[in-house]
Amino acid sequence: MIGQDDAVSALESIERTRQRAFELRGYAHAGDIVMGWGVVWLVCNLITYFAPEATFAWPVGIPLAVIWSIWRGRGQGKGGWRAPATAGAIFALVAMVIAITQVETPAEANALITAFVATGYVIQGIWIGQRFAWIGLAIAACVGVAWFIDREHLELWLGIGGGGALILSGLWLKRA
Amino acid sequence: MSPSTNEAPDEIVHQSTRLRILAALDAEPDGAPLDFVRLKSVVEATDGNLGAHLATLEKAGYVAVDKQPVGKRTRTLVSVTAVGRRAFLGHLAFLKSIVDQARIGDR
Repeated sequence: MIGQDDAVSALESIERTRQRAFELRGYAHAGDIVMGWGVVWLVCNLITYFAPEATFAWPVGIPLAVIWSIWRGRGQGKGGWRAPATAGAIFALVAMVIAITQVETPAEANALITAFVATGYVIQGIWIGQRFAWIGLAIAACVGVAWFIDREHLELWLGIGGGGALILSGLWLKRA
Repeated sequence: MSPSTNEAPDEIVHQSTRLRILAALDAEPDGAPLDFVRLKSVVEATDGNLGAHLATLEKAGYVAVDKQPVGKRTRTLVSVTAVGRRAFLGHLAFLKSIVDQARIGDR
């Protein structure tokens, strides 16, 4: 005989399991995408640091990462057009903030964009799964240290710290 | 699939770990199979515990277990069968009916 308390407990257990299944599926799926962005962040920042005249790095790297994300994200979720539209809105916001605040140097733009990326991960962490929030906080820490303490080596911090954090986080997510 | 409400509890389904296993498999889109390692994480069970409960569910025809060789290792994929999904959803409806009846009785 199953009583009311047993039934409520079983239903709560089912709901928790469904949420956990959804969360872990999201982690595993996001792992490749996060690692892709990590590689781009690492390579582009290192190129910018060691060869500042090579201005092609980011204009090539960012579209490659976007294409990678779209390719890996195909067929996932029920959002349809909403995911690319959200990405487009965020890109537009970042571009407007850079224009309005009159960011002058590539270093300022780099730090600002990385801070936006960190915030994006924290927001995902709040809504989807806390691992994303830890990734965001790790990237935010790199931006903070680089900008406020060691600005001379900003690209190294953002490349090795931020990019490295993304790559390691991607592996962590894939193992979920 | 619209589940019919079970008249009595399905004892195979109702056991807590097996209930979580079926809930996890039912949550997969299009009934896709789940890797043993992922399933273990989702239901928060040990290898031995999960293996024993999967054997019970497989014997009842509620899940299908597919072992695939990957190099020198074996990858175990688990999916819920049509019978298993019907049993799970029927038990779910049964649990909800108990809660609903209790709420009506409280009024």
